[in-house]
Amino acid sequence: MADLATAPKNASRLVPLPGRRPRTVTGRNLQVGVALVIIAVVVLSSVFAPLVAPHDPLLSDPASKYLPPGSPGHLLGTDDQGRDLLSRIIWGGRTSLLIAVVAVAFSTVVGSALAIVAGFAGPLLSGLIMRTVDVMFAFPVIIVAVALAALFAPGPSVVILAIAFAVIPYVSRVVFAEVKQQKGQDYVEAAVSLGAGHASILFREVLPNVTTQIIVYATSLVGGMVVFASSLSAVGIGVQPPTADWGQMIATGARVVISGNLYVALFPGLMVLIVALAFNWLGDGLRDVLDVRQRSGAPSRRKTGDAGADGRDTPVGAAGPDGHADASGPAEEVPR
Amino acid sequence: MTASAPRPAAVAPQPGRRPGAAAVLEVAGLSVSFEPKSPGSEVVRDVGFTLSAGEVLALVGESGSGKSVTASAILGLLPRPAQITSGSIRLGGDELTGLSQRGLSAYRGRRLGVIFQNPLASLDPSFTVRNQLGEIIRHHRPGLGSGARNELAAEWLRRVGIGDADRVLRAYPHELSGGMRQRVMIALASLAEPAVLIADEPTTALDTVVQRQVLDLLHEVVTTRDAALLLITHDFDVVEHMADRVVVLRDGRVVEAGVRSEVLQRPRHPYTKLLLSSVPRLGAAPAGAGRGAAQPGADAGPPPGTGSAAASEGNPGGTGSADAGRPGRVTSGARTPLAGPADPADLTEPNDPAEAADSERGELLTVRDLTKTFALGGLGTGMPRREFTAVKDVAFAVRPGEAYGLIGRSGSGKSTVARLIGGLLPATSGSVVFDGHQITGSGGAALTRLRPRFQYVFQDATSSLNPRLTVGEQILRPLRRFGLAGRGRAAGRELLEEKLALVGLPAELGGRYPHALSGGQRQRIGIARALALEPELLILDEPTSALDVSTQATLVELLLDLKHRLGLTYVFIGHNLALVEWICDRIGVLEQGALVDEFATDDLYDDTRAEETRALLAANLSTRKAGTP
Amino acid sequence: MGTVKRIGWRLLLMLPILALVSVLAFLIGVLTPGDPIEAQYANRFTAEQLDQIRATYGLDLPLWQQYFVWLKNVAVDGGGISIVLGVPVFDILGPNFLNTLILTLGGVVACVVFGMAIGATAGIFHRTWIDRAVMLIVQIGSNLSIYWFGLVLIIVFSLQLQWLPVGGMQSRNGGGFADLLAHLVLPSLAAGLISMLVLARFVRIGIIHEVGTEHFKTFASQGIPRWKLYGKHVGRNILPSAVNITGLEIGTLITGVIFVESVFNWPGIGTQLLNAVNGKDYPVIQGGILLVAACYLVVNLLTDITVDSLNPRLRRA
Repeated sequence: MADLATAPKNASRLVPLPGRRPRTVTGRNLQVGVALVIIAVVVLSSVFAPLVAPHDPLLSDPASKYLPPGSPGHLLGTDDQGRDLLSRIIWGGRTSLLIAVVAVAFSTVVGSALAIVAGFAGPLLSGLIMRTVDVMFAFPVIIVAVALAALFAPGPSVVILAIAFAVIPYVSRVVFAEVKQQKGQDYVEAAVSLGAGHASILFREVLPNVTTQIIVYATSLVGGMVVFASSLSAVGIGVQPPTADWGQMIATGARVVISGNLYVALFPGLMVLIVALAFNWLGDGLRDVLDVRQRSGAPSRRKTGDAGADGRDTPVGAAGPDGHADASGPAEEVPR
Repeated sequence: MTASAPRPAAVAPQPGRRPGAAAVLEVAGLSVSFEPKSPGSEVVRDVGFTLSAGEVLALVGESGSGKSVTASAILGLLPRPAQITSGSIRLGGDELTGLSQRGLSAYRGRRLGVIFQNPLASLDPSFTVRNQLGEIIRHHRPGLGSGARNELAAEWLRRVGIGDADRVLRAYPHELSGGMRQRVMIALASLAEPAVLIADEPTTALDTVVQRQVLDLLHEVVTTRDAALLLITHDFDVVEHMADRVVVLRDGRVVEAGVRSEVLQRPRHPYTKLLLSSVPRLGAAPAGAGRGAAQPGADAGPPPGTGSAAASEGNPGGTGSADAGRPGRVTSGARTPLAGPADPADLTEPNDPAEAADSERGELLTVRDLTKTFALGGLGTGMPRREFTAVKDVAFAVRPGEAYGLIGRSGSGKSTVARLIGGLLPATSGSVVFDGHQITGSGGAALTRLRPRFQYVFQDATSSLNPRLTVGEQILRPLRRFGLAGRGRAAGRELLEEKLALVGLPAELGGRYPHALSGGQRQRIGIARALALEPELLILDEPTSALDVSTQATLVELLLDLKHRLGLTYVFIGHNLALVEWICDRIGVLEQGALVDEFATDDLYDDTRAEETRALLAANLSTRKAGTP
Repeated sequence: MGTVKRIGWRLLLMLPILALVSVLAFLIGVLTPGDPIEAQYANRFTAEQLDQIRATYGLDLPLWQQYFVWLKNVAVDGGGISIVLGVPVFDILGPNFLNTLILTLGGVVACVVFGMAIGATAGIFHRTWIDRAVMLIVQIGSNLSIYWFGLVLIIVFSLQLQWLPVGGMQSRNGGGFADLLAHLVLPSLAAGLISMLVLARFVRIGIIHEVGTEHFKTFASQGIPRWKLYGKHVGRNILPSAVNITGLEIGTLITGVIFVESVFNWPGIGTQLLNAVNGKDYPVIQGGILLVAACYLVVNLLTDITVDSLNPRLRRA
């Protein structure tokens, strides 16, 4: 009896019906599979770079400059100093990935902590934190990067700090919004009513509802930060030559584009794009697998408190069963 | 203004199709699917009905019945994956299925108008009413000059009962009230004088008082022009008030159709019977299971002093002598001393003479001069800071074993009062005393120790359950917190089974997450979780308002049964007078944060009732049937 | 609250931010390891002479006094003297700043035009293959390194197709406005890339949301043609947030511009700044940071005012 009301509508949402859904689901699975393979290959080859790379990435050989891709012994060719491009890309993965992962991990921890503090603090502290975040939010990162590069010498630490400055506001905003949304749910009040203390509410009720969101968001950030780091290194305030780094390689390649040697810059750039896309897809896939939206984003009817709006049935012309697909908003974009 | 006037006499002098009236809308064999390629996935199946000029046809059903999808299909406004898989829709003899959007636009507005559910959202927030009405007029009557357009718009606004049409024309939608916006919407939909008007739950989002005005207006607008109205609703009161004929939908199929009086008074299909029996009616509790039957000590009324007897015995687990010897109390054995706070004697000792007096008078809950003020705006918001008093000097008392109802329209502050007495919101001033203990002002450990004795059930069950925890964990966690459950898994399972059985749910639901439950089940879990701590007082904040009528009826019966079996005391918040009358022994009426009337439920129809109460009564659509004593 | 009062508030809120940025910019000059004066002049002057030079730069005063001396330099004396080039900072940055402004403007135009177009296409054709295809392109685009994208544009349009100039701001033998435009196309596209895609996603979601609203359906149900619905109701309702996003994206755009200047050899402030970093020319770095930050704040203020004026709730409040 109790099922009568909600069964048909929920069924289409909870149980994948034959026909439409499975196609998208397999599509997603394929996407996540491809992403995982790419990330695994790149991570493993970076870790085992000394074993995998055919040549020393720093060994220049003036005799074999600008070898085209497919040359014997140099699968992707060589650069202006005769260094093997494949080896440099493999070694470059180390620097590029490490910088991005460390920077994102650091920013995620700091940003989430700030957001959670703001979410549970009084209006004054909360306001102070979030207004500061607002100011940081849209501030041109490049200015910060330049300042950092001026303070310390250009190098990986400048890139990591610049990324942190760029990303912390995004993480904080996303997590803060999520914490606020969760705090507005009745289950928090229910926990109070059931005798839970502050710590219990924070760690045992709300946190489990935001962690997946944080993990998903951090994952999708890594790709973007590989891209951003490569740009910083390319303009000379990141990783310095001769260290192999994708951004650094793009900049080196850019200088020889005019002379017609395009692939020197093209390959590392493509690598950046592929890795970034892979992390994006992984993030999307995780979002679906962990079902973040569906479980936590249940629409609440309580907004108006007393309103007897029983919003029954789908209103005329409302979105179909899978209207949630567009949830990923542009607020999740980060500058590159 | 016509709206408050009694329903026009023109109403269906002869219910049913008038002889000779042409069918303006014919729907036959209509099926709609969101996955057109997979057979059997239709959400609307083989639906058919006809609508004649001057007639009101109600399409009734619970959520998921396909009534709104049917309406969308008629309008050609189905969301993109959904398609009409078979059937025909004829408007004045012209076939609409298969027409392109462009083909349909010739019919829209001119022959077919719609009024949507949510008046707050159905006007464009960025344009003035004049602009929006003007756009519609320009579309349908391109030859009109701007002066004539304004004149026509103003005339229609006056026709829908808006006195100061000029002001409303200049206003943006957000500057108008909900009822006002729905009036404007009715004018907008009727501007082109369509032969058929479709209204999708036109008053669901409105207060009962406004609801009746809007419905009467809608009826008048339609019938005076001899147009037809297709009314989509879940509310049988609205059906009874408005419809000439009724079509009942369930799971996308028509289960019953016929003339209103036939369907409502002599329903043939069991589903219709069930639905009708579930509707709470003023003066007549459905299924004969009203409060009278379930009320503890109903014959004598709640005897004063019983609560204090229990309290002074130092027995917080007990709920008054009124049902101490009741044989039907299944869980009486389960109420071990553990049920109370750690040191019952310490807590039940009244610590204030005035509060002691409360318990002596036999009050479990005493609310005195309760006031709550919210601050709005202020630094950083870009708005000037101002204060808003949601609750003003509210005072009432609830005796043990009693069901006390608080009713009021939206914004009357009833939910705020509920949260204040539930200890979920700090009061600005005044006091809430529960069994001799201050709830307001006391914080931390003292309040926490008191919490198991009064529990809260939320309006939105979905939001009140933690989506990341299994239902079982959510019930057991508070029990462990108060030392009422051991850590062992087997013991936990047994306890859980017992708690779930209390609300009529099978034990295996304990392992599920909330999203895998239906709305009714979720609310039962919410009740089970609250009852697990074995409270004496349950604060029920519109626990059924998000549910379908049939689910609501079973839930109310469960609540009444639980109250009877466990000897509970209820504070029930509601906006539906019939529902509150069904459940409660005494009723308090809130208006703009103040308690304006308070009476025993049996005195609801007394002449001494306050104006606000009588307004609520008058607005109730089923009042006629109830028959005042 | 009146509009004037609101703008006043916003201006007031800008001051602490500007002060903070100026302190940070000042600190860059102080906190850096090593003595720039010594690094620059040690081989040519004696210790006393170096002290004199320090005094002319105000480097012998207490820190807080140095800050105000520096502020005065910025305000009155053209931002101090470049250590490397020996001329006032703003004399160096001034002309370049104008060039950067031109490129930023180009980026904004690219962002708005393409962002709106891409977003509208995807939003209007939501749930069709067009939407999916456009969104795939958007996803790929969002993961492009601006620097590399600029390079690819040069390879395709300048080197292979030879439609547009490779870089710089003007042809060697000069040229008029058309010449400038030709030089501006590719860098603007590259600089605006990320912002335009952010805007596109916003516009798309905005359209999808608006089409789902009851007021859209109200007018659709009256037979108003689609293009009119999109043009009037959808357009007007997403306009404020589109303007807001564009404003918020200025920061990203400036970052993009500086990357792009490097690829296209655009003679802008970014190139100057990056050179200054390498040459440890602190006055130039400080002046540049302050200049960009101030511009950014002004743009933000203008955006806020525009968004407010588009909101009927505020307009009449």
